[in-house]
Amino acid sequence: MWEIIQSNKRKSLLLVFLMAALLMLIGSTFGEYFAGSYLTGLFIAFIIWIILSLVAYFQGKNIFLSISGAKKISKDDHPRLFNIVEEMKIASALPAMPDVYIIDDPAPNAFAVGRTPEDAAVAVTTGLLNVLNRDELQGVVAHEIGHIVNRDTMFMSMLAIMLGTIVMLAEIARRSLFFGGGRRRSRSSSRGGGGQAQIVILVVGLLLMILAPLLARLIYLAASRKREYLADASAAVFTRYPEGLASALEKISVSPVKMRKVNQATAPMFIINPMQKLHESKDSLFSTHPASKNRIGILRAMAGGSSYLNYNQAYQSVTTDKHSLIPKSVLKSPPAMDEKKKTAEKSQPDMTQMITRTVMTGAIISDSAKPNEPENHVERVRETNDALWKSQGYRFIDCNCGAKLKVPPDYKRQNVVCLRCHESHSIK
Amino acid sequence: MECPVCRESMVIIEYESIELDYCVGCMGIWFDSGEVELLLEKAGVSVPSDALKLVDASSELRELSRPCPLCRKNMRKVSPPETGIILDQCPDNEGLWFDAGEVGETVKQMAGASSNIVIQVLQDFLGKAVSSNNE
Repeated sequence: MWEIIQSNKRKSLLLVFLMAALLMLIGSTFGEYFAGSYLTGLFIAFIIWIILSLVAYFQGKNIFLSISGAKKISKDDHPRLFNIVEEMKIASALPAMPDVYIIDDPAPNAFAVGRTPEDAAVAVTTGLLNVLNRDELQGVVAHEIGHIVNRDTMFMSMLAIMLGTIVMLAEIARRSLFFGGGRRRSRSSSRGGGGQAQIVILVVGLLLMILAPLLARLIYLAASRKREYLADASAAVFTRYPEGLASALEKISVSPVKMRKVNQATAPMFIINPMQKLHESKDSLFSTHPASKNRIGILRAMAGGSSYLNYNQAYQSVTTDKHSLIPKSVLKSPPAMDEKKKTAEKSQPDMTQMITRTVMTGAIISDSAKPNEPENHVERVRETNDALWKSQGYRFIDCNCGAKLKVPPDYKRQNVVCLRCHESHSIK
Repeated sequence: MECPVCRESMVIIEYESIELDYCVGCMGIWFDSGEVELLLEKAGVSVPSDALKLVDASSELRELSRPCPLCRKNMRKVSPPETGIILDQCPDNEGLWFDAGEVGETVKQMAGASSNIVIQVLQDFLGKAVSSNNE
């Protein structure tokens, strides 16, 4: 695991600097054209980059949570979800319990944010809670925690914010070029002798402004796709049940419901790209996420095992990619993984990789079956909605007739009359 | 959610895994479309033909139009066929609003159509409320 984290950190840092270089290139052309000196533009771009990095580093988590409309919930609000997050926290050896958020959206999806594993959050939509059973939900939560453990979340949010700015800056530059901005200057230079140099700069600048956002997006997307595969691998290791995540991905990817609050910058954060077309079956250069078909195929091809080695083999056979997804040192060090597995599954410490899937299913169910497990979709919807109501401050009253009254926080009266039996309940 | 009639904050009532919103002030009931779907699913009915059939009643101008508690658009007047009861339905089909008297009336008049699942639930919910309305 350490190697994955390290390589992730290294590559991400490189990307952050690449982004900075792009930003400054744009800045200097911008400055040259409008202010007459590339230094001014460079300086402004640098200041913007520093501010952005700081904002992304310290506020990234809150920015993402608030623009997606996520609400923090406590253990009482949704015990089942909390219980699953706790299990996966232990299985992944995360140092602290991540905050749990719910997004009121019928489209099933989830994401994780956080600068460090100590300060992370997992957010799931109500749609997700409604359609997934426990094993599937566990797979999704494990995938998100995989992102946190692999240190994906911090760099993803930094990159997302920087990408957003580059796109925005290039857009401003492009518009001002086409609609008048620097006209005065180009007229004066055509009178003087330096006309040709001006034109060269103009052409280079134009190219850059058109290519920069594309390039930035490509870098960003390529990086985020591999992360998805890695997080899937981690999820398989943490849950020891790849089928859970596979079937969850299947359900999520065929859902026709579109997410409401989502945009280009936040899209890569989710477990399944909320903006991607349903029928995309191949990894294209522009997709933020691997095709769900591939991800499900790999998880299902893991043939009875749930280790990084199994995932890597399945990855190579499904995607026909010769390169190893996971660093060789990780694949060759079973002791480190055994240790992880022991924490993951307390009851059966000597389980080997060769164990059959059916046995594992049994282990997971017996390990995690809780008394109040909702049996069907309707009950899951009730459970999810109750979590939302509670997080919004609704008070719950059990009426003697068997009905449950849920009183909104802005309810003005002193008592509530039950619709069914007309019994009056006073509100303290 | 706000009651479309008296603007009071509505209370949610859950019974047998189905939720309705109602206003303690006027005892009107909001039947959310999502809940109707859940209801059909729970009953194992796949075709929504078993849900309440409604006909347009916009020509009847007895009542003012009211805003949908969810989307705030003005609701349109609809009526279960041959009952003369006028209900309010969200134009985007977010749900259906019953005034206090209308629920009882609907249940009473449609009681013959006991196969209708929406009526069954309303009956179930309003066991007492219906009888007290009838007196």
